Amino acid sequence: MLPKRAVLFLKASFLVKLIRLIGSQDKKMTAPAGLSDEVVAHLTSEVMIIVSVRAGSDRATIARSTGALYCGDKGWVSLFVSAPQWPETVEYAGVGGLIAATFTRPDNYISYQIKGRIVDIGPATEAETTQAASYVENTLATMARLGVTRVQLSHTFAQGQLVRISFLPRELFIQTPGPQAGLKLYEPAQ
Amino acid sequence: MTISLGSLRDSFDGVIPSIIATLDEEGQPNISYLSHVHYVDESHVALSNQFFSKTATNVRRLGGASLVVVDGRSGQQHQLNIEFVRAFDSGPLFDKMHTHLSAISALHGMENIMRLKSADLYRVRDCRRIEAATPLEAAPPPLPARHDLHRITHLNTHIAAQDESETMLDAALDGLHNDFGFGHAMILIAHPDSDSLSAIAQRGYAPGGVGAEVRIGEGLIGTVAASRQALRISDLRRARRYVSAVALATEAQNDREIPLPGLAQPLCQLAVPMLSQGQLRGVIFVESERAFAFRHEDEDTLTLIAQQLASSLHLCELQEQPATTVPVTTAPLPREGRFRLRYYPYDGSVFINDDYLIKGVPGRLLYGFVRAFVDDGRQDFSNREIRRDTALKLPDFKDNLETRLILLRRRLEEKEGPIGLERPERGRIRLRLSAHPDIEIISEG
Repeated sequence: MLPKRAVLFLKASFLVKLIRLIGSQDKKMTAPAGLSDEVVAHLTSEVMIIVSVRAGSDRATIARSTGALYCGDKGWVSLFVSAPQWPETVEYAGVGGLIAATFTRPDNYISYQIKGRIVDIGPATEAETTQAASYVENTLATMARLGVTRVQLSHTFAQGQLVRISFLPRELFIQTPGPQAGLKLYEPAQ
Repeated sequence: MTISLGSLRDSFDGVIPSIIATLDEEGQPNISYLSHVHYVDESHVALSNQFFSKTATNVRRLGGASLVVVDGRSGQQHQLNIEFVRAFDSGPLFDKMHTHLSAISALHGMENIMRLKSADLYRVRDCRRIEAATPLEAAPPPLPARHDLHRITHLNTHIAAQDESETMLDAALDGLHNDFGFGHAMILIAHPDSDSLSAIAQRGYAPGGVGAEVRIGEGLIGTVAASRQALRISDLRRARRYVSAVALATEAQNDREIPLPGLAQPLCQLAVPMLSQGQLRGVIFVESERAFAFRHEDEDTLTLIAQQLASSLHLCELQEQPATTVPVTTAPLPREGRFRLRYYPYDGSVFINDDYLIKGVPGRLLYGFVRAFVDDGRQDFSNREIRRDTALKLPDFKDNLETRLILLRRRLEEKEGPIGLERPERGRIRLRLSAHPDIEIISEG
């Protein structure tokens, strides 16, 4: 167990980092749904990505995304989802609909959840499909270093018939396991 | 439901985190990772509610949720359509999940972070297999069906047929090793007057380790002892660095510890409690260098064998020894050679020529035997006398004399020193000395 002073130090360090992160979000508030460079770097790195949209009156879908892109000009986040593997999510994702996505680093569990509204849907371009393939290879390499095998991830990264789902972020939350999980870092500008 | 939940139990081990998605009152989806999905029965699962207060709020309001679980061995995913029933913040379901979560958290160094708020029970409306669009690898072959009942019956019958504790322990370990293929197995015995367990027998490790102690509540074995619930860790790959670091930090912390036998790189571990009449009698521990080496069936198998062994050992302890007293035979002390026996009354520890031997009740027993030999030339002792003889100045204990004597005798055999214990017959101990002991009592602690 860590000494009490070390725990206090870690808590203080985390709070300082949190305040800085919130500060960086505040600066971006004026831009339409802009995300900080730190968050953009996180969600476009080798993170595990989960997507969910509404399906019916009391249920949300679950799908795994094969990579993410961020369009700074529009403030959109684009996710790639394999239609044959995750048909329900692709079916229920519609422009104007609500969406949530989590982005989790597998090595340190640092995780964010972004919630927003879908602004565009379409088949992935060839360039985007290539980029998704690159994401898969990089993420597999990261997971291999952590002791997770290709067999264990064999069904996780689907690359067939990718659909791009773009959305405008409205809210950003910390999702890292721990007492701060669920803490809202970002809200849309009023 | 088209797929049996029982067939998905390997997906509930938490090797790859599960995912739950819910909707809030505005229809906004929310996603959370889950460290543990617990199989309750064919139509119910329970989820660990730790941090995901938004999920808890959503399901309590709307009821429905989606859940994706992953088989850690094959990577196969399934989606479950579930409906919230109720939350438990105490009781058997909560305790079971809390224990499992604590053990897993400790292995990842997150024991103070991952705290269970409640065990949330859900009814499963539907379960569907998620077909991989572009699998990266061919799926591993399905695991063969197990038919363990006959083998369990055979081994338990064999254990029950033994009339001595020592042969019961050997029968159990031989059966686990030879009949069930557990390559590395260990039995640890609990003592009512102690907060630790002692290793008493093992198979598949280098010789040694008898008398090694595990504190109740610490590590996988200690957690099983404290919770009295079986625990299986299917894949230790991600926790291995942490486990290695812990092993380094706990190596030989003082001169009165016997290293516990163990694999350098275990990838799968299973420990089950030995329970009899509601009391913890010990723990059976098995491990493997192969991830996913042990399945749910192994957990069930080991649990049944552990219960039989615990009951048989307990019965053996309770059985009154033959009423006849041991004839007092005396023998002269060896004239050739000398050795030093250092005894610390405060913790019962015994050192032979500065080499640590054992402590606690076995240490006190040994000191008492050697003292009687030196003072009176006496070398034979019966269990009945040992229990009642105040001259031996033994602590007031009622149970486990038999297993403590086995532990002491095996420890002496391992050390191959000047002291040995023999069992001329059931319920009787004979002390053998190959050199003259110079006893030194160290009073201060």
